[in-house]
Amino acid sequence: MGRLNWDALPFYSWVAFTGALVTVGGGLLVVALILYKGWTRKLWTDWLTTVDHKKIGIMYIVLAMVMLLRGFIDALMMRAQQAIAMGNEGYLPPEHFDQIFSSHGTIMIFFMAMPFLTGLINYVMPLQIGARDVAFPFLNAVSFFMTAAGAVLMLLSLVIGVFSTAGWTGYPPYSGAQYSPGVGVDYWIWSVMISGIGTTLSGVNFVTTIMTQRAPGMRLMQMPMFVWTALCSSILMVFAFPALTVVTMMLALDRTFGFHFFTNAAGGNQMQYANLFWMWGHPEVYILILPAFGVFSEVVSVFSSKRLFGYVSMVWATMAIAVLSFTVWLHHFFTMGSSANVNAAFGIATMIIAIPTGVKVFDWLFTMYRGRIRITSPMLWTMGFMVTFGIGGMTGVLLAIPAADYVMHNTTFLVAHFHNMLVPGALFGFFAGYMYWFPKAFGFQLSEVWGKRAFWFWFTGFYCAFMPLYALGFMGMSRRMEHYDVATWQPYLIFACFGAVLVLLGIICLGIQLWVSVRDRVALADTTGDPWDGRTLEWATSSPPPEYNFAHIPDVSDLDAFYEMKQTARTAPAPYEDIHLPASSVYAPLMGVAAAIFGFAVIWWIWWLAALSLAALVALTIARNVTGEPHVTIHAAEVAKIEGART
Amino acid sequence: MRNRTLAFAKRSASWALGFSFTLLSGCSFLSSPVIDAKGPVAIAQRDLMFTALGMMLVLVIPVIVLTIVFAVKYRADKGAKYTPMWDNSHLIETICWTVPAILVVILGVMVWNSTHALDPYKPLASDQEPLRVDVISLDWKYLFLYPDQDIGAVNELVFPVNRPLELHMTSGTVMTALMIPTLGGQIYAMGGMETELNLMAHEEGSFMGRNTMFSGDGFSAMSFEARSVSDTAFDAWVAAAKSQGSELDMARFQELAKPTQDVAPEVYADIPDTLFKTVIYNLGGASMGMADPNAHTNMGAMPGDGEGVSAQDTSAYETDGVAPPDAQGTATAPATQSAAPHSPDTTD
Repeated sequence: MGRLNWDALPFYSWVAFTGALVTVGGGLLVVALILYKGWTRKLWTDWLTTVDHKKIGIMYIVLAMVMLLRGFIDALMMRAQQAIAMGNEGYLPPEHFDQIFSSHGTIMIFFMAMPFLTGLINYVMPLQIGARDVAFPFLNAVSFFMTAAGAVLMLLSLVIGVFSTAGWTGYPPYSGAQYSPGVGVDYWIWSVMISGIGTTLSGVNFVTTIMTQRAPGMRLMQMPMFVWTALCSSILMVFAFPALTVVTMMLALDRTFGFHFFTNAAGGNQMQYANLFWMWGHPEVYILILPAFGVFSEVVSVFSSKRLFGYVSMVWATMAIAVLSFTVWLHHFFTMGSSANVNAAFGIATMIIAIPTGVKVFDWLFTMYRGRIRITSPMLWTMGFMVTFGIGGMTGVLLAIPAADYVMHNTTFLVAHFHNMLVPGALFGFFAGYMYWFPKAFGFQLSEVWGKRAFWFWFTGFYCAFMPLYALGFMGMSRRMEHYDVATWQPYLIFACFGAVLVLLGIICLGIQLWVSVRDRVALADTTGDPWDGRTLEWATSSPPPEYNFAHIPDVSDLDAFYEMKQTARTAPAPYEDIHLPASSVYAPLMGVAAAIFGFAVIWWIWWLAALSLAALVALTIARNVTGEPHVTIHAAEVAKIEGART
Repeated sequence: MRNRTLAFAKRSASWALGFSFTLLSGCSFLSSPVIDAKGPVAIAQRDLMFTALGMMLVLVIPVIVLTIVFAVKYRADKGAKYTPMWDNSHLIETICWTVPAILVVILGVMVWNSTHALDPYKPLASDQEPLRVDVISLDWKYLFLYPDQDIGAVNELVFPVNRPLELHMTSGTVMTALMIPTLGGQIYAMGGMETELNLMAHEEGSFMGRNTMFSGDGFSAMSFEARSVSDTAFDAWVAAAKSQGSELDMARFQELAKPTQDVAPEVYADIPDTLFKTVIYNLGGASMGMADPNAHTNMGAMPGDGEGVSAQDTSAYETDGVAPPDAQGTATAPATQSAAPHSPDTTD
């Protein structure tokens, strides 16, 4: 079929074969567990077909956690290879090592960080604005399944065929058909493109939700900080992701149909790819970081038991970052030979972003000032971020100086810098959010002891893994080296590998934390709905919230809406009314399946299957639209019963 | 519980610190290429970096210290002053916005000046004429052409100390980036385009140069030795290349352009005048552009002939470099082009 044949199975190296076995084995194990426990029906009706933003949010985060594991194994393999491969070939052949660094970046950005933040926004944002769901609940499910379809293609590349070796940025002409024939780059293109479409739709959905679904009385300047960052991040998704869709589509046309957008010859212009890619790529950094900033703002205020310092300033800083993020993309390729005027202009623009970012850090600092700080695990992640992020910001400003970038670009210094931004800046925030909102989602708290252990391993592991890479950048080590023959590099790389092992222990702690907490869920139960003495609306409802979130849509008159409610006497509740909610739908998962099949078919040039799955996708869309928007009604009596059980 | 966690944290932190200091003291960080720079460009780049770093530390260190101080001082069980409703101070806000802004203004001026002063295209100040070397990056080696000396070398760049080195670069394959960290860096080399990099060494020595831009299976070993030598030693090296080197004709070049790894340095006594231009104009297509270079003599000014022509100015020759359409293979199977493929997709 197409160019698919038995050679696609991963018998080319034992490492790749093991990876494929683990992937297939893991998948089979999950299926077996579901069948054994008889969860099939529950999984389908309660989860896969749901349009409830809370369940979709949880599914996003589960996806993110699974992909985090896969992406981290890639990282560990690279660290191990570089720790060994001094003057020898190490244990990974180049064509395999190259796949690993490509998949590590792709997974961590597109299939770990993106689902994680989309999941958090999905779960928390509607609750924080006092809404019953997002504006387009069905579209939300479609977005999720598009992301999942991309992730499936990504994992499939481990078993059938190979993944791209062109790095997560996929620069042509290397990623073109002439230099990278075969399916690797196509796997990258289609998994990124399909999930990117899901992200664009999510962005549209979130912006609409925040603009139209806020509780009565909640003005824009009374939205919780997390909602603000979600809004800015979503606006960036809407404007930035189409650039990625277009550029990957152009590359696909080059590769599959012999176009010449980015080829060396025939009028192709490889520099244009860098332009288009980073026009998405730089705002993407802020798409990842802004929601984490939102989490930090919530956490620092709640656990300092104090109002957020400089809210107005924070809002303006967030908006400024969002706008400026579109003006700096060229700093990713100062070394492409632009004139000094162009490089200097983009260098200065980049530094200007440091101003609002700095303001935010100071505002968190002054929120802690004269507070009553409870050092919980979410607060630890936040403080770990505040201490570490400054270092990354500093090295970022260094790289923003074009003349300095000429020596630091493409070295491990750059690798250390962007991990220094994204690990504390995004991932620590996601973990803080995960531990902070977990009791809301499941009705019991996560073990604090194991949460703190996880933090300390991640925190020390991060420093051990990435500080040596800064030094190695000064020592002239390029990124993406599969082996090397400079003996003085090796101690640093061994130390970095040791750091990666510490992070592994951190991940194990996260696993144990979940296990222990589920085991002790009765002891850890949150019966109040407000385990942290929260300040925003999500804590006003029960843990976990009922399907309809709020029996009465709350009336808001302050930034810390729930804190204010707690301070004022409760009025007698109004009588309950019937609540209408969108009904679950089988179309979204089916569309996800069709999209995954379409991607697979195009990657392997199985054109009849591609046509068929595309037709199915269109047919499903039409069918869904002609069947209308089905609803379920929860009657007032039932609402009264659920709410009665709460108190 | 808290004590256990804290004790554990302290233990792991002190262990990590201890280990890293032992590591740093026993190694060669201070003699690393970027720190121990040997040329005016690299020294200026390094000094710029450390000046900027010092300025930023003024802001970053207080943040780190204050985070820790506040976390300790205002812990709930300490009973320090508590102002739950205090959420604004115009004075603090003003400082928060203006101090970073002032820093950025200062850095911005620095950026503007240094970017112009250290523009890689800018000829370096010297009383000597620059030595021109044309660089062609191939899979996975560098070919250095000395047009004025009419010699060439693979994976070996020899040049006189204290004389500006004017590198004109292109790629006979994918995008690469040439850097000699001890002397400064780095500019991309791209197929069909010419970029430029000016460097100079003011000490004799042997430095590592390499491609920093991932370019395929042989990328890790795509490095070369850059040697700055005395004028007499350079003349001797040129003379030796002329007497001992073989001639680099088009056939040999095509052979050289095929993907190979760990290529030993080799010199060529005689190089085609038009080789560098031919690669720029004819790259791509199936034939690696070995068409008759004379066919292109009417194409007007070369990019890079004028001052400050950057890689962005490709419009002049983009259309001229078009390969015959049939050279790109058929639409459905571009992978079957006859050009040497980079690497087989799955290897044996």
